[in-house]
Amino acid sequence: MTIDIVVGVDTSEASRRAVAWACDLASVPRPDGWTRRPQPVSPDDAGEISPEGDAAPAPREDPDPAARVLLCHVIPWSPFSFTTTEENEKRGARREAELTAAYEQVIEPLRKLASERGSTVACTVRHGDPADVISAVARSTGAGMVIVGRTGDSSKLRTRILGSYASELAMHCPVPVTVVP
Amino acid sequence: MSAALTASAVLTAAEGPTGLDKAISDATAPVSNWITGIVFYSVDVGGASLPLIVVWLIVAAIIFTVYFGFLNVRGFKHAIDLVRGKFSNPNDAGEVSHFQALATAVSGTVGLGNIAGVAVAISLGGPGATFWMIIAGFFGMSAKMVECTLGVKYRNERADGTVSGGPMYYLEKGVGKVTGSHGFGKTLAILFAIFAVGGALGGGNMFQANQATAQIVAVTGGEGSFLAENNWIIGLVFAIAVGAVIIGGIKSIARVTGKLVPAMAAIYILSCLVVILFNLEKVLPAFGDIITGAFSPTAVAGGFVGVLIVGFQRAAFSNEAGVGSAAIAHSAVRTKEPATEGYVSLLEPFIDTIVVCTSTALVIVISGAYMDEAASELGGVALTSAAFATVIPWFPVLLAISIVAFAFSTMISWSYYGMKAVGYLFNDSSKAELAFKIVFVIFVVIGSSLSLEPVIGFSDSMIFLMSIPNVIGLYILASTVRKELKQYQVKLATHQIKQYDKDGAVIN
Repeated sequence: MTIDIVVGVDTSEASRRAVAWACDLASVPRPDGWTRRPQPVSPDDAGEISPEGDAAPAPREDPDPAARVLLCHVIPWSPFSFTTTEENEKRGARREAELTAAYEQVIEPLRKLASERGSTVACTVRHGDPADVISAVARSTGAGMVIVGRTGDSSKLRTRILGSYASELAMHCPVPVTVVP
Repeated sequence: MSAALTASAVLTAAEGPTGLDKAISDATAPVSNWITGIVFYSVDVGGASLPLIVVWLIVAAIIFTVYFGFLNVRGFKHAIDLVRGKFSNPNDAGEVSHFQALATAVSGTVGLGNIAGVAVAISLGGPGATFWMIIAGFFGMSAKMVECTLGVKYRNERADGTVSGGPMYYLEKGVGKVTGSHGFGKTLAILFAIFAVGGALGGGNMFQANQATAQIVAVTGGEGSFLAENNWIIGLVFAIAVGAVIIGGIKSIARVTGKLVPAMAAIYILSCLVVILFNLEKVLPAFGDIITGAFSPTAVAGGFVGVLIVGFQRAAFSNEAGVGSAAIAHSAVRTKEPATEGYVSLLEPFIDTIVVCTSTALVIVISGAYMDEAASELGGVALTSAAFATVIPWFPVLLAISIVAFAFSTMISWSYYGMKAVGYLFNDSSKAELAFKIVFVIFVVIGSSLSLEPVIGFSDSMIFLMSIPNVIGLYILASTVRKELKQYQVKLATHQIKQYDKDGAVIN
């Protein structure tokens, strides 16, 4: 699988535009100016996206060898948040439910949108900090570009206080980031 | 936790209860006194009375520390690395992290024991008691490690992805396997579950309700006020709040407390630091008092042995090492290696007893409040409160809020432990669990209404009874834990346990 573009997506309108933009870019041959990540992807790095036996339940994903675009949805989650005992007990089940819901509600409509535009896309859903995870996925897949919508699902309040994920991503991502309005 | 603090000296609930309060008190006190007498059977050592149950816990903790070659020291750095997520597979993101399991367990144990228990220890045993509390916390780390490793190793993972773990499961499955007698393991497990239900209703509920009520009465007018005569009203309010969470499933309240408690704990530690900074020149002499007081105390019943007992007893009451409760909370973590949670749980007595209790102790010793006859007679929360007030005059109000928050979160944690025990006894029957929750809520009112002594007696008894089947199981399973740790350490040394950088790439 040669991923050229990682698109960070959620249920927002801007995400649809980001996916459309990514598909259009991917439909033309890769321009010369694109510098892909210089060092080759090591097997261990690749293990992050296609885990080996040791890892527990693999993040559900849909690798498509033909795809040049990877849709990545991140469910905001932190290993350092405070939880209750009851939440902990049900966490495993809850995580599965969150992943299933994300596939149905976020990924499927966007995949359909991509196929209407004649592109096949690969998909992944993960838990974590959106900006960190998208950066990590870009690095481990060796993608040359990340595309996100300008305004995502975050509440206005969160954006006011903490800034948007798009700007955070632009500051930390190892590859060029395109922010689609 | 907290459970059990203080015999004599916490805040005294309003004296001479009347009316409904008295009726509740009269009906339950004799039962409580009878149980207390049996559990706290004491022998006389050099003029000090030594409850055998304390010996039981501390000896186990020392034996495990030696048996595992002081892993509580050697494994400390690795424990921190695990909590920081250095060894967490990124593909497990979204599952319960080591940090979350630790934080949940800590908020179940940090509480009134750390605030009032230390004050009791110092007023009974002088500054030297602090030294023995720290020593007991140090050994307690090993006992905690053993039980939490087992909690993860023998937990039940159901098909729907939920997990149940704790002493019930390792006693039944683990002890059953090692001794070859399933019946023996099952007996220990059932005994543990029964005591855990009692512990949840006692130390995890009545004691908390009682102390929170006493503190509310103290800040709203004290003795003779309307609330002081009618404690059950406060109890009822508490009961409604607890019921809303555990029966009504109103998660938002639990979530708010879940966040409030760590914040309160942080504020508490910060306040301690402020007091210590204001009195920097007294810190070294305070440590001096603590160390000399530990070995050559003056004016303490039983002398050296007396101080030692007081310190050990309070530490055991505060960090619950060997009681088994924490193993229930720790077993929800996502890990393939039970040993990892063992390492992480080492930190729990460290935080609870060594960090938080020592901070409280330093404040009390530095402020000299314990030497003031009047304050010393108050004991418990009131002594801590007076010590803080010497530097931060408005601290008692903050303390009152913290106590209510700590008490509430401990009640919620223990209602869960009790429910798991009931679930074990009745095959996860939701009817039995609901019945337990209703009883639990009723006990909140009873706890608020009773006078302190019978409440503490009953609370301490049930919690300490849990340690009898649990520690027997820990001895039997110690070699299993050793094997588990050995294979983990080998994997770690040969890099089969992977370390990840922040992008999720393997770095070793």
